[in-house]
Amino acid sequence: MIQKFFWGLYEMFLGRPIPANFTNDYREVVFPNTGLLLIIITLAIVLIYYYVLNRMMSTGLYKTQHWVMFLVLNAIIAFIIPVVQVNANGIDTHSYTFMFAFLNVIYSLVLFFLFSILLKRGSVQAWTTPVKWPNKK
Amino acid sequence: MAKLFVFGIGGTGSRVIRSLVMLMAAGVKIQNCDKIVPIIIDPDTQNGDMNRTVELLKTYKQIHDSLGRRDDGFFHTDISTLSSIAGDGNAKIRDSFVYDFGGINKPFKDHVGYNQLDIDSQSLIDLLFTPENLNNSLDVGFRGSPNVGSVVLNEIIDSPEMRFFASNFQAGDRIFFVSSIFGGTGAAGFPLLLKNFKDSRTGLPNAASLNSALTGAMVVLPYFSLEQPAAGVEADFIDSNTFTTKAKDALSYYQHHLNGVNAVYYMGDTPDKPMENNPGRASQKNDAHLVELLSALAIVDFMDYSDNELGGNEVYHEFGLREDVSHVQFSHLDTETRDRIATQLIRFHYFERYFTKHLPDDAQAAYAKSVDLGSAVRNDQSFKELSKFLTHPEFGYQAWLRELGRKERTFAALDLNETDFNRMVSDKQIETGFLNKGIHQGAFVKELNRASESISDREPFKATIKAFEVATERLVEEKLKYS
Repeated sequence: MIQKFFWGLYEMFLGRPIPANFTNDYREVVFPNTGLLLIIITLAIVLIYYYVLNRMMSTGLYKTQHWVMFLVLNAIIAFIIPVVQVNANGIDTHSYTFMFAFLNVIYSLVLFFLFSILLKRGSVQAWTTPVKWPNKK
Repeated sequence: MAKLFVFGIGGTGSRVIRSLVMLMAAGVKIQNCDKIVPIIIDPDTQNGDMNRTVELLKTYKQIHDSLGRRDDGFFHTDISTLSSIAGDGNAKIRDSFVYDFGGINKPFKDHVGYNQLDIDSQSLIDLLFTPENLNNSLDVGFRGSPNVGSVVLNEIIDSPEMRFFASNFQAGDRIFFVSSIFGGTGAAGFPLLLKNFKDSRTGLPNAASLNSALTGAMVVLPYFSLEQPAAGVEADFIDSNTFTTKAKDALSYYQHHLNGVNAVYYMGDTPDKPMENNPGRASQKNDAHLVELLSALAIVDFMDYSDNELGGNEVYHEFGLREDVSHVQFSHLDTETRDRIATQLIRFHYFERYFTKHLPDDAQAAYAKSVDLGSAVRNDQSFKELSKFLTHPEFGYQAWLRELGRKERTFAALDLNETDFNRMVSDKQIETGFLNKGIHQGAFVKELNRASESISDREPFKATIKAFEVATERLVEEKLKYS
C-alpha cells in the first residue's frame, strides 16, 4: 500500500525507472524509503523551526528569510536522499536518478510549505511566517 | 464618576501639569477618580509654557480616546476638557483646557478705568500699584505682580466657564490647585479661587458641593531664578530677587486666610543657574524642572487618600529627597514615591526607546505582522499622535526628559542618550554575560510576540500598546528585576 503510493507519486512525473532492470528495487525500496525519509525529515525541520527555535528558544530566527533558509536546507537534504538511496542499493546511477532527486526537491518544497501552514499556529515567534494566512489570532 | 478638577494657575501651573501628563502617560495611577479635568488659568494666551502643555494635553487625550476606557496601562487615565464633562454637547463654553480670558489686551490702568476715577480713588490706586503695574498690558500676564492678578482674576468667578464648572461639580468630585507662590498669576489666583469656592454665600451654582469638596493645593516655593539685566540697561524683565520676599509675604497671608483646603503641599529648591528672563508670551518657555515633576506627584498623593482620611484636620506636606544630590535617581526618592512611579516610568521609557528606535525593523515580527503594523504606523492617526507625544521637539516625552537633565539638579533616573536597554536605568543596570544578554532587541521582540499571542483585540493601535505594556512589564520584572 505504502509502496504503491510512493511509486505512483514518483512515477507519475518520472515514468518507469531506468535502467529497467532496477524497476523492482526502485518500487520496493528506493521510492518508499525516499518518500518516508522526506516526510519525516521535513516534519522534523518544520517542528524544529517553529517549536524549538521559535517557541522554546526564541532565537530571533522568525523572519521570512530565516524560514527560506530552512526550506533550502530541507531541499538540499531532499536532493541527497535519493542519490544516497540509489547508491546504497547497488543501483547504477543514471540521469533518471538526478531527475528523481530533482522531483524529490520539488516535493520537499511543497511539503515544507504545507507543514509550515499546518503547524505554525503553535509557534510564539513565527506564527506569521512565511505568511499570516490562514491564522488571524 | 468622581472627577478631579486640577487648576493649573500661571506658568508653574502649566509646567506641573506637563509633568503630570507624562506620569499619566506612563500609567501612574490616579486613585479615587475616573476623570481628570485640567483647567489652566493664565491670561498670557501666547505663553510658551502654557501652549505646549495644552498641545500635550490634546495629544494625550486623542491617544487615550483611541485606546478607550481601561483600568491601567499607558495613557489609561481619562483627561477631559471642562466643556466635555457635561456629556450632552450643549456646553456654551469653548472646548479647551485653558480658561478663556476673552483677549484682555489692554493695560491694567484701562482695565480698572483709572482715568474715569475721581482723584481720591486714583491716589489709592497709585498707592497700591506701581506705574509699571498700571501701564503693563495684561495679555502678557501679571509679570510676577500678585496685586494686579488679584484684581483681574477676581472677575473670573462670574465668568460662564466658572459657572459651568460649578454647575457640573458633583458631590464626590475633588479640586486641586497648582500654583507658584512667588509669581503673579499663581500667587494671586489660588487663594482667590479657593476663597470663592469655599464661600458659603458664593453666587456659584452647587455651592454646597463646592463648599464641602475635598480640596488640595500644591504651592510651589521659589525653585529657579532669572537672569537680571545689567545695571543701567532698560529691559522688560521679572525681578527674581523678589521671589523669596514675595513667597514670605504670601505664606504669611496663607497662614491666616487660607481656609477650606484639606491638604497643602509645599515644594521648593535652591535656585540654580539663572534662566533666561522672559516676562511672558511665546518666549516664556522654561525647561522642565525636577521640582515640577515632584510637584505633580502631590496630585497623585492627594488622590491616594480616601475621603475619610482627608476629612479631618488640614494636613501639610513637604517633600524631601533621601540625599541632597545633584543627579536625582529613583533610589534618592523615598520608598513610597519610588514605588509609585519608578517601574511605570522605566516601562514607559523602554516603550519609548523601542518604539522610536527599533520598531521599524520589526515589520516581520509576529506581533507586527499580525496587525499589519507597518501600514498602521504610516497611516493610522493614533500612531501619528503617539509619535508626536513621544518625539515632538517642543512638548514631547523626549524633550521633557532632556530638559529635566539640563539643570544643576537633574532628574537623572533615566538616560535618554543610552542606547543599551541594560544601562538605561541609572540605579539598576543589568549584568550581562556570554549566556545572558539582558534586554536587547531580540528579547524585546520575543516578549512582544509572546504578549501579542494573548491579545484578542486586533485593532493595530490598541493591540500594539497592549503588547508593549505586557512586554515591558515582563522585561522589568524578569530581566531588570527592579523592585
